[in-house]
Amino acid sequence: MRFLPLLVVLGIGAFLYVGLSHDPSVIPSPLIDKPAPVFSAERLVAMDEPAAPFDSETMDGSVWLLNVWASWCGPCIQEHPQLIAFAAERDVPLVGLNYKDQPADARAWLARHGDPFDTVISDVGGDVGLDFGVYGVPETFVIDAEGRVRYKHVGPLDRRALDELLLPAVDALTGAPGTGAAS
Amino acid sequence: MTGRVPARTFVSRTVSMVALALALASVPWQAVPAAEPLVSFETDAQRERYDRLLQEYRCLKCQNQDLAGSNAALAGDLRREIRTRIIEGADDQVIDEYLVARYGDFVRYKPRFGGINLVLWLGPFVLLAIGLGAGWAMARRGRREAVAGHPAVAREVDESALHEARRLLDGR
Repeated sequence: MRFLPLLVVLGIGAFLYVGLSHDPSVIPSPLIDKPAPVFSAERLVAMDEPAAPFDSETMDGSVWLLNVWASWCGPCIQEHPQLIAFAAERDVPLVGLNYKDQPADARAWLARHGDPFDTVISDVGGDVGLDFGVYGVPETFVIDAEGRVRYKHVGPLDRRALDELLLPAVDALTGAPGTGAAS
Repeated sequence: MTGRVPARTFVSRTVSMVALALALASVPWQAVPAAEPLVSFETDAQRERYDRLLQEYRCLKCQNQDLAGSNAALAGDLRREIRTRIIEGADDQVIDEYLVARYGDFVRYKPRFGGINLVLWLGPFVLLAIGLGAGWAMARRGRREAVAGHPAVAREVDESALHEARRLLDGR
């Protein structure tokens, strides 16, 4: 009991220390382990291609990634090499949500930086983003075969975040780690 | 005398500067125009609800501003959603569920009472009770020790007397 005050002080210190290491801009998503919002929206297509709607329910049955990006988003450029690496390393559909962007700007941006996306959804009004609780760009959602959100990454993915957070989350769902593994 | 401000001028200047500062400070910060044109409502009750709700929710982009005070695009979107729902006749609970389902409890300035938030609501009172309890225990011990004289010696004497008593009682 003599050391009780010391223990109390250490306890409070540990509590505050943990608090310091939290990034206040990262807010836990209430969507984790809940069904992802169902939506349908237009795909981003080339100028001469006809409009093509995208229905999120067509993704049911496969693990997929939804990456929120925009041509006006600086950190997206920083993140982009990781998305290109992801597309090369995993056979998991990567869907881009082009958030509050002009299709022409988005196309030019992809032409310049490379296009790792299987599909890009054009969310000019930001309605799909609103349903996903997007509050910053970029954000990345991992959605499982049952259509539930299993992981959300806020902010740009660097190589470390990709290796230590995103890939393990995806591999745990597909059960198939390693390069080029089939889902 | 060059460069010296006569005392009376100095006083009157100070007074007018303070007056100016007060006048500026009294301009309410809500007066800063919102990013979008003024929104219209059919009834004053709707407008009042809108104004009240905008102060109850946080802009997640600039976390220390409410939806009313934030110029972030996200806050604009959420203001629009809230306005649409008010006009559609949704009650506060529906609007609350809409926001919390997307952005979590953090979007509310006043946390929900229940679940993990109980730590937030009741934690300070628990800590206060522990503090008061510890203070009371220490005060009581202090008083007892003051009565018993030197605490260490008193306890030592007590211990040996007890030991002696036990020895005698056991008959060893």
